[in-house]
Amino acid sequence: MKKIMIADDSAAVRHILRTFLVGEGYEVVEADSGGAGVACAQAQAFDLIISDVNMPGMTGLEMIAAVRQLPSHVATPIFVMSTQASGEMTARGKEAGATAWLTKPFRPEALRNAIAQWVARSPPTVP
Amino acid sequence: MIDVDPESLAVFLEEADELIADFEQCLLLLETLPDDREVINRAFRAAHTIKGGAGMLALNPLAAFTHELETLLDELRDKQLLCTQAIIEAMLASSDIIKAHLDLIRDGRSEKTSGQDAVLGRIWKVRAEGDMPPEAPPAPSAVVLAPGLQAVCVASTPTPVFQPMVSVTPVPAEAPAALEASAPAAEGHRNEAGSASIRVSIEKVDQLVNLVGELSITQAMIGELVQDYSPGKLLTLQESVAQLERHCRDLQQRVLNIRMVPVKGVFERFNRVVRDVAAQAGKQVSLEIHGEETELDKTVVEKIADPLTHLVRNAVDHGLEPTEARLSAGKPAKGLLKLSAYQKGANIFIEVQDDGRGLDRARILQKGRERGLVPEGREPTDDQVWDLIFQPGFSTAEKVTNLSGRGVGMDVVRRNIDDLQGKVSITTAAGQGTTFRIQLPLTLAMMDGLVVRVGKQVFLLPMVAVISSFRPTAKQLGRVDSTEVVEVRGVYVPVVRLYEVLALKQRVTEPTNAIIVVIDDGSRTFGLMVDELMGQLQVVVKSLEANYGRVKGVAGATILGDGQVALILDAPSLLGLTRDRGGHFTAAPGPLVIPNLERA
Repeated sequence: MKKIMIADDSAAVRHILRTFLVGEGYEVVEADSGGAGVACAQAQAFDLIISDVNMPGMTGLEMIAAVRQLPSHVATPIFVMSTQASGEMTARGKEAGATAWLTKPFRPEALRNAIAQWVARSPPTVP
Repeated sequence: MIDVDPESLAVFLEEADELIADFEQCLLLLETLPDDREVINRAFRAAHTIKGGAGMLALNPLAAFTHELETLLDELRDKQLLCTQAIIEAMLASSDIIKAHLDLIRDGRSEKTSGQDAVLGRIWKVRAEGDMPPEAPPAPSAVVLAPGLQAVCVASTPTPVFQPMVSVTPVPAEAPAALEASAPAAEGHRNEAGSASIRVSIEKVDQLVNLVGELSITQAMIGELVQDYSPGKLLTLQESVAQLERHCRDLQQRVLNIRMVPVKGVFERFNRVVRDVAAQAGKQVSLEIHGEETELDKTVVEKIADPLTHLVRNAVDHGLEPTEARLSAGKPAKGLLKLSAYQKGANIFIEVQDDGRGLDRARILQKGRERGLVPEGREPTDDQVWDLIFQPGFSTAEKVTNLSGRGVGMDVVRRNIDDLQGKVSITTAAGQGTTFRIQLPLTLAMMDGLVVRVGKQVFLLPMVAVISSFRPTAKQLGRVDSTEVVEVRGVYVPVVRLYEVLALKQRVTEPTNAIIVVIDDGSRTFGLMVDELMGQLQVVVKSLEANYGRVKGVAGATILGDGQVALILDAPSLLGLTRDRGGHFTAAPGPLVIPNLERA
């Protein structure tokens, strides 16, 4: 089963995503801060990471940059979710190592399509 | 939006409640520290998180409104605006609108709230009036593609374009498809969304997991012992069972502990309540909060909020004098309101204390006589007089203000507290202030009880009220007037024969063959005579009231280990029952045998 990490400080957003993703047949791990996200990624390899930007402490973009340094996550698709979608923000996301940008709020099909597009492409996780 | 399942909605609502409380806390902090960046950031994040969750659940009216608030906070954060009092007021008003939205959502409705446009107008006004340069151009509503970075979704962001010149503009409804989907889903789940969930710290959960682990180990040990049993292993078996008991008790306590939440959440809202009521009443009030970390059962915490709000509003509106009156009485201009919580035994006490004028005994008594509550010619005690204010429709306020004085409330306060098996008492001194003290049980679900037997019946006495127990010698017994007394450590206390109060047939009638259980509820001490002590138990309290109404002297019932139903006696009130025999206790006492109690 493919494993997805959700990093968001909002329990509501995590719950919404988890409900959807579990329904789609994925295993979901939640992180409620950037720091927790990095710790999770150090402990296990994910097939996809979905992260919020605005979190207390370490921001989502800082977390992504840190996760990208991990050998296990060099090529893992990482989606950023944000209500902001300015060119400057997306550029910063790209710089940090994000794969794609989801503008909140989004529809389930959008997430489904994005996963189909990116997660399928990535090499299978090393067991 | 992704699936609006009721659980997500419940999580969102609970989170939003916490965030909005935090948001208000920030606003109140900003009043004294308008430039504190950390506080502005916190407020921003709260609004941002509410907006994000609302957006994901397609609660678009709320998302759209919060977006406007977020924009304002963003400008404060970026120092495009200075945090003025007008801005704080506008944000407090916004906070009320968000709360109204959340209430609507709980009702299964996701729509604009009344008054929201006026508040939006205020937000736009304060933004336009800010002496800083005008706001940045509105965020693009479509995704901008950065080279090499693929935008995977273009959603309609709730971004009404800023229109500073229009004071009241309805926010355009967006994403109609999503809206339609959310409404029916939200509807059917109103109740679950209310208080269906509880937040538990990871630490508490870990402790439980640990304990369950130990429990299984012990169980496995016992299983092994039993499977291959020989009499020589009895001691080991007994030890293991004792361990199992310890674990069970520990587990029980910790599971109950999950229901315990600090009163902080309730207390915090009073910063805002006091501020608003004081402003409306034109008074200066400082609020002191003590013991906010005191933990209470979640149900109790939720239900205590309303009566407490009433007491706090009353204290500010009625209890505290107007500034001039305070000054002429030689008091500081600023009234003091103290809100405190503390635990004592198995009870939690919450106090609302003001340093105001105190209750007006003469006026309350006069009102009581006018309303026929106190017969002419009878001089009630102070406590009886204070008790009058809890009568329905009783108000001594000369003018009906917007805040209180409509005569509704104190009776509701008492009823709410009664429902929680609590008590409310008043201490007051003219010119010095009034204290309302609410006594609440730690939890409604469990109780430590002393199991006693009278005749064939088994009863439980709440452990909190029990001081000691002993078999009296003839020397210790005596009579004062017509009252039977027993000596307890040099003091004579009245004896109450339980079989008499409950009119039970089989009994030990000779006190020297019986057991005296010394009961003390803080104000009165007496010895309760029972046949035998059977032990101490922690029991689950079942309410009798649903089926039998309130029975004097009985606090509830429980089911013992052998399946027998036992009544839990409200021990302190038993003394009153014997005293009132001739008067108030008119209902035939009869044997309190409860037929056919359903096992719940």
